[in-house]
Amino acid sequence: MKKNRNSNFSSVFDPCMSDDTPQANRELQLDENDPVWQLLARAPRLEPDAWFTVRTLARCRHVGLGTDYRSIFFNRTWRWALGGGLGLCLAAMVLTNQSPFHFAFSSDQKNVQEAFQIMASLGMDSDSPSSAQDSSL
Amino acid sequence: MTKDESTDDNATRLASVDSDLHDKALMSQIAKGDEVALRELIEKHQGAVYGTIAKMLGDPIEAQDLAQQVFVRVYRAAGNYRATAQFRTWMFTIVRNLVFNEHRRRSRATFVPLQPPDHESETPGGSVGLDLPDTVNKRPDDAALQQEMMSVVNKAILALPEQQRLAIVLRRYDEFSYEQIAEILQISGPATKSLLFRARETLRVTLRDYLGDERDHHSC
Repeated sequence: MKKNRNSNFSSVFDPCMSDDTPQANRELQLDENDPVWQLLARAPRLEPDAWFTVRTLARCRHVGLGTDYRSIFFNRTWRWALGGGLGLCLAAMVLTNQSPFHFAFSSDQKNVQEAFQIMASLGMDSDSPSSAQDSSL
Repeated sequence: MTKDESTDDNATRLASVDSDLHDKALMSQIAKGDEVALRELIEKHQGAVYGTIAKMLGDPIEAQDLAQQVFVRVYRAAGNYRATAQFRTWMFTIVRNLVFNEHRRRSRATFVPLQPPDHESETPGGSVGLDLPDTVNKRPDDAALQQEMMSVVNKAILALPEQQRLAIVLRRYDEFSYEQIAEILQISGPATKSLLFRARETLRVTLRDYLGDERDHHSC
């Protein structure tokens, strides 16, 4: 993509004109011959004051190079640590939650079975006549 | 591409190769914590960085702060710096990001300038500070004319859209090639040329009253 971009680079100066037109040729020589260019030279760019270097160095020192290394290290590490920690927590939750469900279910099942047995025994006692009561037989 | 332009670009490239290698060597030294290398790098590029930002913002005080931020970023990135592109191009990408961010920030906020308008604090020589007339080298009317010219040209540059402005400043004052400007602005080569063409045409219209003077000035 970049290669294509650069290959077109030299062919276009004015988007409306091709290279072989007088207009395009004129534009190619503009840099040094253009009065606009010469006029811009009469407004030179500003220069920083004498203390600029000292102040910038002080600011760099204040920010520190080492802190950046550390921050980069921690920036990269804490994401992995957080991700890993969350993953472990999730895995632990799934594992620990599975067994209580299982036990709860089995204990509930036990209780229900017992209840049925009790009910069944009670029901049998109340509904069905005992052999002693059944005198017709 | 004409032969002249090709030769010009090649000469510029060759001249910048040594400088670029030196910059990269300085960066590797800075990554090891060498403050002397950092000082050298700042001293080498401070004029270009500060001058470009000042031209872009039209505010010398804000430009100082932003230029410092550029070098702080360069310093902090020294450890991770990979010499894939030219150092200057890479550094000016930081300049571009900071300047465009500042423009966005300014467009959101309303500022009341503390400085007098029309760059009254700028001296004809271009430095910020006491506005003393240069009586040694120039006559008072020459100095006044020069100051007026500077003010008009700076205003015309500031009136350009930010991408055109940066393109014209990089090309005119920092002498970057079209390819480098394209890389800094992250646009294609033809788009860069188109941008510069439009910027130049806008300046031609804005400064048409002074272009006659410029021709006279050069013919004298």
